[in-house]
Amino acid sequence: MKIKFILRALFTVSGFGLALAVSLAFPTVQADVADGAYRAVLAGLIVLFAAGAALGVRDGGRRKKYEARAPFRFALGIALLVWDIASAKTGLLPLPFFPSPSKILSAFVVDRDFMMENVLFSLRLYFAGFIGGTVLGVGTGVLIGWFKKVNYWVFPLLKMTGVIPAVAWIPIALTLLKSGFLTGAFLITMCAWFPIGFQTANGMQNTQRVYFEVAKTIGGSDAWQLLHVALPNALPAIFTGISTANGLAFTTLVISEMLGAKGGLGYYINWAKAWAEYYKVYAAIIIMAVMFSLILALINLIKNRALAWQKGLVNNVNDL
Amino acid sequence: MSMISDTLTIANVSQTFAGAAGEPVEVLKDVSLTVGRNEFISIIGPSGCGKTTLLRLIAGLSSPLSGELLMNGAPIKTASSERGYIFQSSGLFPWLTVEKNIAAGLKARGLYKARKSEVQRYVDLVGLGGFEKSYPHQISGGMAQRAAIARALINNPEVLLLDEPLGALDSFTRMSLQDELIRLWRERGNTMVMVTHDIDEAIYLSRRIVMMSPRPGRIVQILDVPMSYPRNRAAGDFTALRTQILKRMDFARDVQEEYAI
Repeated sequence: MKIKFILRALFTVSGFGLALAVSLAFPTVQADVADGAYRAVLAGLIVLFAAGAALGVRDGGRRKKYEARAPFRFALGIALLVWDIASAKTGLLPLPFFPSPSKILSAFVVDRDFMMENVLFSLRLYFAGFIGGTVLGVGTGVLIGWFKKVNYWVFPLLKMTGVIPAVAWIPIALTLLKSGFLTGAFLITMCAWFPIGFQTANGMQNTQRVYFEVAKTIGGSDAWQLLHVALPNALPAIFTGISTANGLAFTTLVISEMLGAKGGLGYYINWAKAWAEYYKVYAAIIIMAVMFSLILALINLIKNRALAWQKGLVNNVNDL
Repeated sequence: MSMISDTLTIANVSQTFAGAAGEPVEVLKDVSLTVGRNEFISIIGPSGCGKTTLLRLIAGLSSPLSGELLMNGAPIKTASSERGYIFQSSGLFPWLTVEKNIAAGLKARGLYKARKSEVQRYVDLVGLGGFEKSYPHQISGGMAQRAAIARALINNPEVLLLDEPLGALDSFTRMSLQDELIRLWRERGNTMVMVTHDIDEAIYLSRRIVMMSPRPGRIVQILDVPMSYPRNRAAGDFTALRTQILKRMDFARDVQEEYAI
């Protein structure tokens, strides 16, 4: 049992170990490659997964997860090894389009400050736009879902503007708002507004009549019914809207940075491309993957808190 | 103050709904009934006789086509916490725990802060201690119905309207909840109006039984149940009353068949 787990742990780290050995043993033929960051990352991964194994010795649940992930982690190490050989070690992959892993990772070192600046710009832009869109979407949805007049006048408007990809507004927004940041925030707000507003309205309108009748017979006013019956009933739908909006918001964020803003990861990619520094483009893409995953995880966390009552009532509560 | 004052007065109430083809269907025709203070009254009849419609009118959840409904002499216009309503499905809010569902009765009226401490008493009153933090889908149907009763009772309603509250429960749970209802009623002295299609339940619980017949829904007979509580389901007068009601129900069916021919 223990021995099997130790073998599993060795198997996990051996992929990265082999990649590290290759990096150290063979000379790099491509020009301008600093291997330091790549080797540090490989060593870091080895330490990380060794530590994970050490924690798993005592914790059965952790051990199971660790064992299940071993083949994938091993394959990841081998993939890095193959990639390293094909690029830095032999030059089979043509530069500048297919840089080596060490070249991409070196971007995080040489361009650290500028990258960070752009990451912060993207985060600010994203949250400004998305929080705006969520507030606006829930607000509109509540009004549409509750007042028949608003439903009549505003819902068609929401449906019509909602199908327009937000980025189509770029020329107009740039002219009117004059600032790249404001334009980006406006576009993200627009793209989040529709799915969130639509779902909020739907969720409120789908409230079972009996809940309103219960509220009336226990003395709940109209306002109480809105806040304590229709709105909680709409909450699962609101989160469906938020996840849909989120996917759109990532796309809108990057496109608006590429087309208008004077900062952000989209801007950084354009800038790196202009200098034909494709390794920095890849580096920016890696940051996006990490950043957007973290944002998704954050939203998931909030959602699972807010919808804790659905646990056991609905399947796949944890899926976003 | 007279001893026998009427809490509810229903005078010549008629109600019509649109049928499948849009034609008007008489659901209630000229229904009149008075319910006294601290009475336990059951309304029985086959489906389609308008008993739930009548209960909803008393609650103020809908208004009649014609006729008058009064509570303590004042017209019933809208729903109010003075008339608690127990729905067939518990109607517990799925997003609130048992405890918070019961507290909702207070929160809806803005009385929660002042009377917070009473929530636990009502949890205990309906025997849900230990399930305060459970969500409705985590408890049984009988427990959910108890929670719904506590949510209505925490408002001290003068009248409690029960719409087949035990209809969806298994017979053992149902019998134990019937005893609970009698206990709560006798402890609290409110007026109970219950709709049921279970004849035994009506006899076991109520002081008077209102029998209704369908198409159009109307009252065919009002029976007194003179037995004292607790009642014995196997006693002679109990079964005799059941036979009497069944006969009367058969009669109602005859009327319907004649009508069809």
